[in-house]
Amino acid sequence: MKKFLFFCSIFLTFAILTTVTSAQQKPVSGGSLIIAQGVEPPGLDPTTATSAAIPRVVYTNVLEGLLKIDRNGKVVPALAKDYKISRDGKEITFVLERGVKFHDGKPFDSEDVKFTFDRLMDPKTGTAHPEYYKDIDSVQVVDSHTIMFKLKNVNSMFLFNLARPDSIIVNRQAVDKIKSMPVGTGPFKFVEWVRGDHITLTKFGEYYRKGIPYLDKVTFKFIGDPSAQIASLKAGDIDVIAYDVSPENASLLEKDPKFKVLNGYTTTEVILSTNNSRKPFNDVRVRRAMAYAIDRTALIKAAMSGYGIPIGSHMDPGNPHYIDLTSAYPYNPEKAKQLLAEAGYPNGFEAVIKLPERFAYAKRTGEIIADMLSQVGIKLKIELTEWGQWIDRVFKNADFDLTVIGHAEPFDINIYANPKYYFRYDNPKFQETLKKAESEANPKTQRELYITLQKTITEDAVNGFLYVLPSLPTMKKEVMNWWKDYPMTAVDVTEVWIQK
Amino acid sequence: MSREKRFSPFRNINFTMGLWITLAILLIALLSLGYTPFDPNRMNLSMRFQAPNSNHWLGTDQYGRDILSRVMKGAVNSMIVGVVAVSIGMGFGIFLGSLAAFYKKWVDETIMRISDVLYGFPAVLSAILITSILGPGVVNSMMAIGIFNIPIFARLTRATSLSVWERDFVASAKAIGRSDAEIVWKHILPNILSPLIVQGTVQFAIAILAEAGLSYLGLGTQPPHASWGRMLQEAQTFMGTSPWLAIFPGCAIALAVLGFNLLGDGLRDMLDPKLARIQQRI
Repeated sequence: MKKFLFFCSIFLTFAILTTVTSAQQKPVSGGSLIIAQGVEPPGLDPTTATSAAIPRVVYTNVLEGLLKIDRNGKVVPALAKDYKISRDGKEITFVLERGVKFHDGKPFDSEDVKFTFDRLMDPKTGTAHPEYYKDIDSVQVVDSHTIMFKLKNVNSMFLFNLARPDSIIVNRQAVDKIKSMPVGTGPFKFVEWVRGDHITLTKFGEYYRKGIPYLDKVTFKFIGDPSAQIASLKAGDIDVIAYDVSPENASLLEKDPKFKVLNGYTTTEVILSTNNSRKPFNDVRVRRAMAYAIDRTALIKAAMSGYGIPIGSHMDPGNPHYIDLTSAYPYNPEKAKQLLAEAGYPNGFEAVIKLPERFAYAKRTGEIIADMLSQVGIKLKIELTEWGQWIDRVFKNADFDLTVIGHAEPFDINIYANPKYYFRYDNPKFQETLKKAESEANPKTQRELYITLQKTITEDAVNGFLYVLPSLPTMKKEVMNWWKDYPMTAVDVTEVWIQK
Repeated sequence: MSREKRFSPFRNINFTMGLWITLAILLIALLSLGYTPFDPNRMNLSMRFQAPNSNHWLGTDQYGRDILSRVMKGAVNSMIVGVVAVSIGMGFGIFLGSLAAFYKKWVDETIMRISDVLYGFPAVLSAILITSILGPGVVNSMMAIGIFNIPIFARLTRATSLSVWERDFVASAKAIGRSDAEIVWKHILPNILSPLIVQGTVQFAIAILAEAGLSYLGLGTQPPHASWGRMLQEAQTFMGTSPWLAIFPGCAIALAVLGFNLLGDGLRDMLDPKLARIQQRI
């Protein structure tokens, strides 16, 4: 009997092993991929413009940084093979990959790194996010493949910032062309950009990591209209829709055996942005009442067909510091009414909610919230706002009561420390804690601090924290190894392959 | 004229059908002011995407709102937009056209050339232009549609009244000392009224279509209020799963436009003496 069991177990292990290996098929090289993208990038330089459409084409495909964010949201080495942090946390030494070449044939060395960061710190460059580099004291070339960053202060966000699309290494001989034809070190090289239509990339044969990439050619096709994207996918003109597939289309395509939809998360926190400087929203009781009046589960079901993860604070679940605070304000309209009465609005009040016309998720969410808040007496007048106008009136001038918008940038809780930011939240305690968290070297204490930060904004109910947008990349069945989650504003096709 | 050939509007099939359709829409619109089966704006998230059934005759939309109630409320919206837009267009258009026909020379030139410029833009495009300046909303979209109606009526008024001014009865009215304003009011306008009415019904249909177009683009009626164009736009992404969201407001628009166009066609046939005579001979 024992022998029988023994053989059985061997057989079972064998069986399991074979299924595992057959499930994890070996990638095949070759083939081309056409990816639909809703928004055409305004240029291709991710260092001087904030448009998310830029990194979605070039980040890690064409242009690489010292570090990058991988599909799990972790900071991993890219052009830097390894790095060491000094004991005081103020000196970071990077050892660079050897044998790396730019697409124009120029070898990559530490001078390029120095050039890149000197350029980013130069106010004349017009860097989109100079705050990422404000703590750099100097960048020193140690030898041709070693470089050292000297920091003014310890900054726990520094490595993450180096992995952002803003910190890609530029080719010092081709930097003037970066906006229209970037020359990087990535697995794909830029071929052409037909404005209004597409960008083509082809495999870079001399890429330093052997065997990668698998694809020969990648085309980003710009199709603005979501229904046209779906129609093109069904007609076979495109292979993948990377972003912004509407939830109802996703559930429809999921049923089609020719396609697959991956249901992951993004870093886009959708919030009910509240102008904290305006009456009556400057009263925390009013903001809390609104939080109690919103039924997140019903909202996600109705606005997003059930896709999307609820959040209770301004952090996405992919973030290592994330904690679940969704139970802070359970749906309770009675409590909401009571809080409103305490704040001096027993019969509610009237306000305007400005919704960006361009985003279906924001419009729907806003309409449902208007209905939910009306049930506790808060009457919202909906104003659909054109995107340019929204940026100008709401985002730049804080001329609004309420709005709904998704914040796409990863790890952006720091926006709550800026009292001039459009929702006008000014809490010195939060600002101080953030400073502490950013300069804390001990990861454990640091995590504690970030948790405190999340809790603080939840307690103050600064904005209505609603949900994280689902990723929903939709593609033909044959497309393999696509990122399920989007922890970075990226469409990284480095390791994507096509099943033959 | 024999008894059989007595004037009877209902002999004209276009007019009859148009009249019935427009009357039906008008009645539905009036009814919805006092009664709709459900509150058209109240969401019911547990009743989303109900196919047409005995409770919700036309089904429910993506927020669980009753589509029948919303189509009914949308009719009010379309009617108001039509009335206001055509009134603006007629009022200003007839005034300006009469001025141009009476003063001629530079007044005529100025008014007509400005009209030509306005007329040169496609109707919906100029409405988009105006709403993007004034801001979105139902009042502004009515104004915008009204403004692009002005040159149409101005041109028509001028062209038709020019010939009337040359007629003998106008000369005799002048001879007995009637004032110019009196001549326009008592002699010119009654004689050009029929083409204006015909044009009015046609413009009414175009106004409904334009409002639907503007709402579709997000420039017209603002949510949560019902408008046929807005409903159609919101239904677009649900076409594959719940087609009734788009079918009913779409039918409503088509029916309303058809109704007013038929009415206009019928009126034109009856009011144009030449055409009427030809039809009688046939």
